Amino acid sequence: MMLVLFALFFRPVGFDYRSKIADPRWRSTWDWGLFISGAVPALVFGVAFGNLLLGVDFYLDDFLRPHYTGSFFDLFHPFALICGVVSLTMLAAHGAIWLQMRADKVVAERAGRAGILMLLVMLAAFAAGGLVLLKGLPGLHIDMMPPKDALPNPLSKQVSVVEDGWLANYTTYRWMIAAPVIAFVTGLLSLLLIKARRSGLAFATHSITMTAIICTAAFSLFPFVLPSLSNPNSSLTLWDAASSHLTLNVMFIAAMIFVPIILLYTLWTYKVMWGRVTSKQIDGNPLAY
Amino acid sequence: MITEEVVDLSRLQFAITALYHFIFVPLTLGLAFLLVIMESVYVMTRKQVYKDMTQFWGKLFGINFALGVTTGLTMEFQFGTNWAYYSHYVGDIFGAPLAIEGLMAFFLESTFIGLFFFGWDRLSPRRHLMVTFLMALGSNLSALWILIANGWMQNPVGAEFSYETMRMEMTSFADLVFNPVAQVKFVHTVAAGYVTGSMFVLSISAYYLLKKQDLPFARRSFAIASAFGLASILSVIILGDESGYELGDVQKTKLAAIEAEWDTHPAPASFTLFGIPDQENQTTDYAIKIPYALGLIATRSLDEEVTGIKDLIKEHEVRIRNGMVAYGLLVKLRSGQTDPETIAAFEDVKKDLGYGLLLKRYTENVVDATEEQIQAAAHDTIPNVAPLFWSFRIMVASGFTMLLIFALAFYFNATRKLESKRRFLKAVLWSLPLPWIAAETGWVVAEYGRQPWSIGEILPTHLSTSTLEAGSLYTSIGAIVAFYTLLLVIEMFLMFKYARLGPSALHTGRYHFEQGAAKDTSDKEDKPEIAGGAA
Repeated sequence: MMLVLFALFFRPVGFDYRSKIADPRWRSTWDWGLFISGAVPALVFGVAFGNLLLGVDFYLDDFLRPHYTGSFFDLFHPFALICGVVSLTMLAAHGAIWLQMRADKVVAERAGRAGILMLLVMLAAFAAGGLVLLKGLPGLHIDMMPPKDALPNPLSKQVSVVEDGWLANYTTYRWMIAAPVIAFVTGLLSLLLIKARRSGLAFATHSITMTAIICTAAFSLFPFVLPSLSNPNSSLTLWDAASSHLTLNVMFIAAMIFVPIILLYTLWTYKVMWGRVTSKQIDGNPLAY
Repeated sequence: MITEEVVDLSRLQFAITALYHFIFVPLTLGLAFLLVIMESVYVMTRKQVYKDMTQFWGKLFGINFALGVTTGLTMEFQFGTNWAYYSHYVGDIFGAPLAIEGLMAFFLESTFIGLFFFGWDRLSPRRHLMVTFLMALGSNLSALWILIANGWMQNPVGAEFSYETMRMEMTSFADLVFNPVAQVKFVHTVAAGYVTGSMFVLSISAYYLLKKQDLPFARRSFAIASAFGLASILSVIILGDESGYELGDVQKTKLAAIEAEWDTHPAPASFTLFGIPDQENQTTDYAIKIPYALGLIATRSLDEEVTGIKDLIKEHEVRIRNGMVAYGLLVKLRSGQTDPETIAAFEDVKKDLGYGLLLKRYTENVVDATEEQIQAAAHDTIPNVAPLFWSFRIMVASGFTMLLIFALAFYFNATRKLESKRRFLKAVLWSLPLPWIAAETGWVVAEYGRQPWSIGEILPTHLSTSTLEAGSLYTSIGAIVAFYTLLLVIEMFLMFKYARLGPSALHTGRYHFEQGAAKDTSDKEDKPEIAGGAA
């Protein structure tokens, strides 16, 4: 997490300061900072998801204080790294498609090529991750659990480790298979659309791909959000990691009010700033962006 | 393993990051509204100079804003990384205002700050003013929700402990939002931000007046800052007095510690203006006192007492013994013995559970605590008096100095004597750090004065940390300090560069360094730009 934090430090500062002094070295330093701030969190979030599927070694004591029993380097298991590559290339492809749509000429062309490369690596890594799951990663199964609307208490359930546990959901809820399938289909579709320079459509299909990939990870884990293989009973599920009913209600209402407002003003902002950024604009105003 | 070292290091790291974050926050709060004022004048009069003012001070605002966001990230991360048990114990309440802050305020301000910089050519003046206003509104709403969260740490209302989930659960959202401590804190803090913004503009404008550069620009900036600053500093002081009254009501310990009020004196208590507090002997040496003043501030009456530290310790000792009972019952409940009698008995004493947890510092098994340990825990309930005593007095002294400066600035400006008062202008320039000194010492009073609690009377600080090794904390503190120093150096470098340059930084061709008469060599690298296009 500290890695992500330090990488994110570069972000707001980088955007604001990179044009403040017209010196190539100053700018390239900040641009590297921006690159790190984009790439590291994208990678780490994927690695973190990979670790969830591998299980995190921790237990909760009687006072529900969590204790981590693994080591730092346990977190860099090859499977976790594959997941890291999926999330990094997935987000990089998204950025490339956006750039292909909003920039012109050389930049758009290069963005298109980068997008295709990223998509290919992403699909390969996603397939590899899927194979590891199919080959059998130990997962968790809930043997006994208090009613879902009981007061959340992680320690009141019985959980056991089972082989292929993360695939169980796909037999219980057959429709969940749709997520990985859609991810592959729309991923390939995005490739073709980038080639055909239909970047608007590619952006739409890739958005679906990303949703599907994230859903695949979540569906496999469901209902666990933080599994522990060493102490299965300590694992957190959606129900026992939740806030109280009152807090959930308050947040639900807040989200219902503010998310539409946010969407409205974000759309308005995009409308104001819309249009391709051309090289002419940038030459006319070298320090603006 | 949680050792004293881990607790101390976690606290140190939080203090460093919080105080550093608050270098940037008040300036954002204040400058945002000054920008709204300047731009409103532009929209009403359509005089170019006001647009230039908005753009120039906006540029400085942007440099500051970037670091405010960056350092704010650290704060939110730390609740998870360093204060995991805290997050578990009170996340149900504490999380809500933080999440609403993100939804309601942070998205608003960060979306519109983009339009503020890039929208000058794409929006009509009225629309752009609306954008600036929404950005200012966003930053202030952000402060509101953060201070609601902080106010709850000071005075935890609208929540109850549940032995089943081993955490606090929200019982009333309205109580949380309308917490009197949070409300008073919000207005006091936001007004302090306005003072900071005004002092910033005032001091830098005084610099231009002294250098006789861009006079019309500097005069107008000075005038706006002096008026807004005077109104703000008056509110800060009045609202600060309101905080004192609130303290007398709900945080008696903090009040007694700030005032080094060891004994309960017959009402009305006198206010110690100066003195040297001595924690060990529980006395204050060389005290200079103002009769009646404390009684008036804290209770607004002449016949109510202000409880002294010695009596508070006695009260707390009783609550610790009660807390031991609560803890014993809680252990029973956790082991599955949940018969109605045990539950009823626990409900009876659970308000003192937090006091029982204070003993955790000395013994794993709270119910078997020795007499000595109880006494030690009772003494722990009083924060160190000297740092509080002095921080508070530094804050108040800075506040009153600023009141004098803003009043004089306003008066000289109104009577048009300003530019002949060079000594006063120099004083204004050198007063620039005052609002920051006041704000930082103010936070020390608020947060250090809350000790030994992270959540007042509910969760002791030493229980709130994550289960970490001291080694990883040394690493993170080292990295944070190195990184923050670097960022601060860059920030100050840019601030000084642009503040020296003044409105010439806008490349409009209308200002001092661009008129050929005085060529500034340091500015060579900046290429000329289209008017109004600079961000």
